[in-house]
Amino acid sequence: MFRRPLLSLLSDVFHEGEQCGRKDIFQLSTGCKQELLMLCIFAPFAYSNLRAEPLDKIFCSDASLAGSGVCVAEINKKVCLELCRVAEQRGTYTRIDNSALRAFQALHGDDIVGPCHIPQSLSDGFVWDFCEIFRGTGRLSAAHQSRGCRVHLGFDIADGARGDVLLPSTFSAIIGLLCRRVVRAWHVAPVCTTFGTLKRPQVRSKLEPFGFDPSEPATYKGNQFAMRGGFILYLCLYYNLVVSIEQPGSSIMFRLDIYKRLLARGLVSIKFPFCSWGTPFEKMSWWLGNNPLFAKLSGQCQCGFKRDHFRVRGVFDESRRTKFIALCRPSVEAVFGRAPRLNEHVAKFATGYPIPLCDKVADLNCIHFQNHDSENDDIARPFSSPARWIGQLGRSLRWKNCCNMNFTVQITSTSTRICHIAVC
Amino acid sequence: MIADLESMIRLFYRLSPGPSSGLDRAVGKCTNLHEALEHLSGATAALRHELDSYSRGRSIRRNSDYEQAGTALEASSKAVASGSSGGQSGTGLSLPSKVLQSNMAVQLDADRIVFNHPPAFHSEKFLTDPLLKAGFQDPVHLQLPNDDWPKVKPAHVLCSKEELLKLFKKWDDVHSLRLLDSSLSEQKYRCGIFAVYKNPEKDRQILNPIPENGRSLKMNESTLSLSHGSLLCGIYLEDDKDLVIGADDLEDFYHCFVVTPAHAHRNHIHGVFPAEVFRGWSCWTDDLEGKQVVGCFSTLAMGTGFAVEVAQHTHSTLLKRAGCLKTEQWIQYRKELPRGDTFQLLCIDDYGVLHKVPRGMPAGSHKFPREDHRLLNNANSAYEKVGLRSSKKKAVRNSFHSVILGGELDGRRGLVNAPRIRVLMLCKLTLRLVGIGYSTKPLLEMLVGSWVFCAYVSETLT
Repeated sequence: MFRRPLLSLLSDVFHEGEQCGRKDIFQLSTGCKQELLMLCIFAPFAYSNLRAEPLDKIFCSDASLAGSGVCVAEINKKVCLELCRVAEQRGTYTRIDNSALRAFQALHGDDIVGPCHIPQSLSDGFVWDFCEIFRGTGRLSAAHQSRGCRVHLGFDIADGARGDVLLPSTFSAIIGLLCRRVVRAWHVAPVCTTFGTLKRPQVRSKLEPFGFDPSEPATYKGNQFAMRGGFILYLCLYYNLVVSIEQPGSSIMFRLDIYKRLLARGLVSIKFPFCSWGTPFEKMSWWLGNNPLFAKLSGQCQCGFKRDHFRVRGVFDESRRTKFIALCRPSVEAVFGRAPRLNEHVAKFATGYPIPLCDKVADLNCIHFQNHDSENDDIARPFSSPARWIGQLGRSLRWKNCCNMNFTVQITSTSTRICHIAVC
Repeated sequence: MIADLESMIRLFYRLSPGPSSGLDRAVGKCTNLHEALEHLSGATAALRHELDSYSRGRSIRRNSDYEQAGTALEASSKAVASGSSGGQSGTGLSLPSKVLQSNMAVQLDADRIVFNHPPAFHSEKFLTDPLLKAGFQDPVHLQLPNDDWPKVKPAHVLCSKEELLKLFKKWDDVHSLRLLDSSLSEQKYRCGIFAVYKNPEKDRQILNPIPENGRSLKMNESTLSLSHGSLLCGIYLEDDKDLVIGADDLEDFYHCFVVTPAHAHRNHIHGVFPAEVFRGWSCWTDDLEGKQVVGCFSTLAMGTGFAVEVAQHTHSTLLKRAGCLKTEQWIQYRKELPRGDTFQLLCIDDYGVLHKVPRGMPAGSHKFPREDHRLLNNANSAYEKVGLRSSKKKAVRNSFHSVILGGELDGRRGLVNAPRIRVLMLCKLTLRLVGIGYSTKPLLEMLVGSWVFCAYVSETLT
């Protein structure tokens, strides 16, 4: 719709039947009929002549509510062609930047800052606030959802193919969501079976966290989970997204080189026991993340059962179940959402984060979102920015005033239109 | 100036007429408009007779406008209802919405839908966008949060159940039908299906997965690189050069895509059948015994929300890997026009190459290096390797006058315009509307929209 002179023939047709419904038949106005006839008359001339010689002049026009003007300058025909070639095509996003920085730049005729170097999402913006990879019980997702966050379904091995992070299509989806910056915050909890120190026979140690035999199937699979987790963290850091990763306190996963290098990039490393969040067992948890507020989670056992924690082993019989329920603070429902069933495996029941911890993490993430919302306001779509040489060329030319006029009349929709025609 | 204008009028009147087949896919739209105008003429005959002072007293039979008015008025009196919301300039009459179909959808006639080959194009290796690739393999990865799912408006199948079964058989013959247990297919998200006019022999089948599209992410990164004939207006053709045109069109491109079962299940069509109906078909599996099933279109369907993105993305990656579609030669929206003597355009299945050659050079001459030949040969070799077919009938080689991506290009004269025969038809329809003097909004919108397209392909008037 840009530089298309035939469109100047149309005006009244756009206002025909404004008061009528879609099916209503209305009489065409004289203006509309004339415009349609003009289109038919001009139809033989509706073409572009690719051999048309470029002008040796360049025009510059601007208008505001107070006035308008047109300037002209002599220019080489080849330069004119080149300017036509690089002219803006339809769809580039432009805006008037009223900031003090832009005003300074305009005054000094140059940019003092480079463009943002992080690739930005084109138009999606943040579609989801939170997503869990290796979702497990999904309590963390539920806590975010209860705070009004929009939560992605997440990924979990239990979901089958669509949640298996080792499958190319699933991992592609995760990478795609990350690179498009459509999810604001991520949490990863890679499967850690072979990274625990209790694993027998031991397949890795603190000194050799990548495994004594990395090609051994279980070690290999564990390494795949760990490396994919690390890769996700790197992408989140690169794309400026909030991210956290969790392992049991005894896991040696974070001793892998990839995580050491991530820590060197300034991730927060925190350890705390689950008993600080109401569980009867201690179970240390180790988190890395880039939300600095997570440092508040760090702590030691202060539950008062220092040497008398509930032991995570076996199944719940009647007495262990009663004891477990009694030791939960404030209540088993508040910490785990439900009471354990008789003969249920304790380890399985203890999987998943305590609900109060999830609530706290969700609160800290929400505060972080609020603090950083303003940073993301302007980055959804790149603005139009012409090549620097165009500005320099413009300043080097000798401009002559073609016409200028002040608008002294009262500005109404009608008078604006008349003024515009006068300038044209 | 005057001489130029006169020559353009002469050129227009010499080149614009032609058989209706020259209108190509626009035949359907023009017929639709023509019929709507006839309805309008009949509906307003009496009104115009009342208002037109010059007509009063004349016999209705002598007025050419009213020759059919007797029958038309009678026929349309049933169709035309009293306007309920006639505004200030309304006449109180209205046209039924079926008279002018804005989406050009027609009833699906299985005999007019043609499938010749089974899908053979494994596109995954050409999908470099991770999210698009994941979504193509399993569309659930593109689903929006539940809160953002719009209210579902059911899609309709524009044919009878028998006709649908006939179509399923055609799909099955080319291994493009997959059956899904109806209990696994959520009814409100099932797809509709309809056809649009393609040519006198064939229609184009379009799936209507609006409910599924509504709850999916919009993917449009490659879609923004679509080329269009109007972009050719920016080319400058020097006095000593002509522009030679070469183009290829991929035959049934969308239906060449091999898709995963998860993708096929997104294309689940309304209409539940006992599985036994399909016994003996290639889609039959024993586990379907005794179940109720729905048919799924097992290839990339026109209408799928991300189909254009997938098609443009894979085609561009394929061509780039074949040594074509270099950025410095590729004409794209929002990008500056390339420098140099060679221009490449890509619009889903259409690939065009324009090359500047010395003026007056015979079209097939190889006296000078022909980049257009090299590029098109490379592209065709790449198509063959991956199981795609370029249409030999639609291939353009060594031409100086051809319609390319909606723009009629004359490489000798250096002119770009909307296809003249379509402009001529548009003039006739517009004059008919002006003659009637009445309109409805959709009718006017369709006509003005067509004119805006013509204006698109005309940057200057000189």
